[in-house]
Amino acid sequence: MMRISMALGALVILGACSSSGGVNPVFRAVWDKVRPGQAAPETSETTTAAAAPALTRARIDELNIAMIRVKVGAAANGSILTARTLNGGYATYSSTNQQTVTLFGALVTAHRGIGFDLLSVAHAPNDPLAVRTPLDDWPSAVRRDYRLLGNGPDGTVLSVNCAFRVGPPFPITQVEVTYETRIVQESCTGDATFQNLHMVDEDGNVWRTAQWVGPQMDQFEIEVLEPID
Amino acid sequence: MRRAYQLATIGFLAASTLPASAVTFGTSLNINGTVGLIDMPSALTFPDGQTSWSFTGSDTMSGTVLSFQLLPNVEAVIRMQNLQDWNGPGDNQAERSLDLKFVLFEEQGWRPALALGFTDFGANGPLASEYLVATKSLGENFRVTAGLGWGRLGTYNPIGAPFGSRAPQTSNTPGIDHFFAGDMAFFGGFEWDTPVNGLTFKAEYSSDAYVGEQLAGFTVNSPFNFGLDYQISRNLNLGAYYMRGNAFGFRVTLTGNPNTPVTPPDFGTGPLPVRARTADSNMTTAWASNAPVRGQMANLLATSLGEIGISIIEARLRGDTIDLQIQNNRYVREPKAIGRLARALTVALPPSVENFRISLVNNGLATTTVVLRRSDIEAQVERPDAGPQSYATTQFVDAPNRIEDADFVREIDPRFSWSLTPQIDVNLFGGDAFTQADIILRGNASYRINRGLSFNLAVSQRLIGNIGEGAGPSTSPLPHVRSDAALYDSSGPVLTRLTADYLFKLNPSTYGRVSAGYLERYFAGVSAEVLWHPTAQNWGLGVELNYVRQRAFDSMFDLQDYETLSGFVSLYWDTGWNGFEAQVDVGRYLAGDWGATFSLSRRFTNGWELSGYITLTDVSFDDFGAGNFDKGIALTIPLDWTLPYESRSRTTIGLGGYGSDGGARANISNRLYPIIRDYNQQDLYDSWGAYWQ
Repeated sequence: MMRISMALGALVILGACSSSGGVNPVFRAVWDKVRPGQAAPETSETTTAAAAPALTRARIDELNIAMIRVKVGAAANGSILTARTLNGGYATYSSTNQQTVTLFGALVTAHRGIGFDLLSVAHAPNDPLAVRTPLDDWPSAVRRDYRLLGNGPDGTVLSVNCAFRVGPPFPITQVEVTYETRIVQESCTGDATFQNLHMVDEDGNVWRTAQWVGPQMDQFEIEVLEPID
Repeated sequence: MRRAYQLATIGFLAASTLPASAVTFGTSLNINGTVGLIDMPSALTFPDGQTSWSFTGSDTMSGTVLSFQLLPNVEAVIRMQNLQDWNGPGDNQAERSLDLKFVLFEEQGWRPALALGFTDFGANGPLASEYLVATKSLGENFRVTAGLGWGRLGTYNPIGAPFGSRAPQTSNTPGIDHFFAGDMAFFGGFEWDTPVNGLTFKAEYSSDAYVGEQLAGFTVNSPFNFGLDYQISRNLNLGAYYMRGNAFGFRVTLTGNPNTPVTPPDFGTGPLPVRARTADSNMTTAWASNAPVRGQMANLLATSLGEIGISIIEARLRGDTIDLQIQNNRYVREPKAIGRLARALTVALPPSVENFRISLVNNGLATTTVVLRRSDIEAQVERPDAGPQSYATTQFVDAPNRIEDADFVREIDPRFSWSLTPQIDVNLFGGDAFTQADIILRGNASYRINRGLSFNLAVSQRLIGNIGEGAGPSTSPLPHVRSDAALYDSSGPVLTRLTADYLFKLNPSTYGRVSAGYLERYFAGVSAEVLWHPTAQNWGLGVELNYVRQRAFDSMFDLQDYETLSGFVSLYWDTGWNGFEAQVDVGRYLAGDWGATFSLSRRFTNGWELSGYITLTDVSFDDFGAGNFDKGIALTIPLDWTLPYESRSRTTIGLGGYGSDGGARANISNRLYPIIRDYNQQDLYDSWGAYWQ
C-alpha cells in the first residue's frame, strides 16, 4: 500500500512535467521546501493575494483614480483595486495581480481570477444598485440573472428576485471620510438564495456593500474609496 | 469601526427571517457501488458526472467498484469482485459486472423517485438481478426506500414469479432473456441523517438470500442489515455495515465530480481589460505599408503573448486585419486562449485593425480560423449577454496550414521537447478480479525538424504492477499479436515508440499523417492516415493503413517474421449532446480479423473524459478467450481539476482487456482526430463560455 501511495504521489508531482510548461508549481514548491536555506513561501490571508497598503485620504486624492477595497469572505484584510477601464458603464477594477472585479454602479457584474469566475450579470433598468436612485425611491424588488461558466456560450444562468429592506441609520468612515448611510438588506430567492447588505446614503450612493458573487464563492465586501466621476 | 459594522450587520441579519431551503442530506453508495442503502439499491442518484472509486469487502466478497453518473438519470457501475470460496474452499470466483440504473422520475411533491435497475447487465451471472425501486424523503433527515427484485434480489422470501421461470446462471454469456424472469421478492429500508455532521444511519430488509454463498458454506441468520455512512470530506466517504446477522462489511469511496473541482479553477491572473477605441482614434493605415514596422509589431506581440501562455507561430499584419497562427500552451479551454488573445490585441494593435483572424495550431497543424471583429469585442465586453452574442458574431472557417506573405514566422523553437506522463492500466480480464494493474511512467521526447516533420521517442517504465505476471504460454489460435505479451522483456525501460512522423494538410479541411519506425511496443512499420473534417461539420471521415511487422521479444530493435496489413475506415461524430462523441472504426485488425470498434465518450469542457469501446470481429468468442470480445473504458482527469494552477496535463486510467489477439489494433500515438478534435466548431461552442475568462 505504501509503495502504491508513493508511486501515485510521484505521478501527481511528475504528471505536469514537460519542457513547455517547465517543472510544475507543486514540484517546485516541494523542491523549494527541501532545498537547504530556502525559506518557505509566505501565504497571504486574502484571496486576492495583494496585501492592502496603508492608505490615506491624501494619497487617494493624489492618485486621483477610482478605487475600491475588496475583501473576500472572512479574510482579515482587503485588497485595493483601481479602475482600469470603463466600457458602457461597466467599470473594471484590477489588483496588482490583475485579478479583476467589474461593477455597474455598485452591482458586482463580473470577477476574474479570484476562484470561480462570475461572467456577467443582467439587471433590471430600475435596479438601484446599478443605477443610483435616492433611497426613498428604491423599488421593493428587482430581478437579476447571474451568468456563470457552463456548457456552451450561454453558460449557466441563475435567476433571482431580490427584495430590499431599509434598515436603521448607520454612519461609516472609510479612509478618513464619514458617510451618513443606512443599512439596506437585500434578500434574494430563486435559483439561488442569499442576502446582500449595502450601506447607502440618502442620495442612493452605495459606499459599502457585501454581495453574493456566485454559488461557490465567498461574499465580496466592497468599500468604495474613490468613486468614478 | 469594522467591528461596529460587523455587529450592526449581524444584528440586522438576526432580525430578518431567512427562507428555509428544502435541503435534504446527500446520497451515498451501497456496498456494491450503487447509490443505495447497504446491500440494496435506492432510486436516487449522484449529481451528473459524479465518478467514484470504491474498495469494498465483507466475509463473502472483496473488490473494486467504479461508479459513474453517466447522465443526470443514468448511473453506470463496473464491479470487479472476488466471490470468496465460490468454487470451493480457497477457490474464489472473479466476477465483473456492468450495473445500470435508470431513474424514471425524480421525487416531486408526494411522488417518490422511481428507478429501474440491472446488475450484471446483459449477462445472467452470479451477480445478475433486476429491480424496480422507489425512494421518498420524509422531512429533511429521513428517507425510505422500497423495491421489488428479480434474479439475485428475488431470492429471499420470494412472493411469486409473475414473468415465468429464470434460466440457470451462465456467467459470461450475453443475453436478455432472463430479465425480470424467475422469483420476485420485496426489499426496503431507510436512511436517517443523524445529528452528527456527515453521519447517516441505514437499515434495510434484504431480498438477497446469498444462495450461491450458502452453497459455499456461508450462512444467513437475518435478512436485516444495518450500517453507518460517514462523509469525511467532499471526496472521501466511508461505509461500515453489520450484515445478515453474523458478518461485517465495509466500503471506502474516493469520489469527485467534473463540475466541482477540488480547487478553484479560475484562481490566478485575470485577463487584460478590453481597451475600447474612442471616436477620435487615429484610424490611419499608413503604418501598414512599412514592412519593418509590421515585423517589429509582430515580434513584440509574440514576446508579450508568450507571457500569457500563447505562442504566435505565424503573423501577418495589414491595415485593417491581422492574421495569426497561435498555439495555446496553457489554457484548458481553447476559447479562453482566444479571448485573452483578443483582449490583448485590443490593447496592442493600432486602431485601424478591425479584423482578428486567429488560427489555432496543434502539433504543427493549423485547424480552425476564428474570425473576430474588434468593434464587436468592444461592444460586447462585460455586457450581460456577452457570451452568446460573441459566439453569434464569430465566424469559424477551415484554416490553411500556412499564412502567405507572413510578417513573422516563428523559428522552430524549441526543436527539442519532452514530457513525463503517468498512466494507470487495469486489466479487467486477467483471471483475478481486481489485482491486475500497472502504474506506468511514460517519458516522451520529440525533435522537430520543421512544422510538420519530427522524430519521436517514447520510453515506458512500469513503476508498480502485475499485468501479465504469471501468464503462461499463449494458446490462442490467432496470430499472437498481443497474447505473447509476457514473453517481452519488461525488466527495464521499454521502448514504446521511435518514429519519424510527418503531419500535413492536403487542403484546409483535410489532414494527413505518415509515421514510420517502431510504432508501438509490439509492432514496427509504416502507418499512413488521412482525415477529412471541416470545422463547421460535427462529423469527419478518416482512412488509415498500417503495414507492420512484429517486434522481437528480447531485443529492443529486432523484428520477428509475422507481418500484416491493417487498416480502417473511421467515422467520427460529435453529437453536440451532453458532450457525447461517437466513433466507429471498420477494418482489418492486427491478427487479420475483420470487424468494427464502436466507441462512445463523454467529454466535459474542463477536460474530464469518460470513454468506452467494444470491438466485434469475425473471431469467435471461444477463440477470443476471456471476455469473449475486446472492450474497455478509460477515465481521463485533468490535473488542474485537483491543483491550483492552470495546466493542460491529464492523467488517464484505462480499464480493459490486455493480451487478447482478437480485435487488436496498432497503438499509433499521434492519430489525427485526437489532435484536432478540441478545435472544431462544435468543441469551441461547448466551451465558448470561457471566451470572456
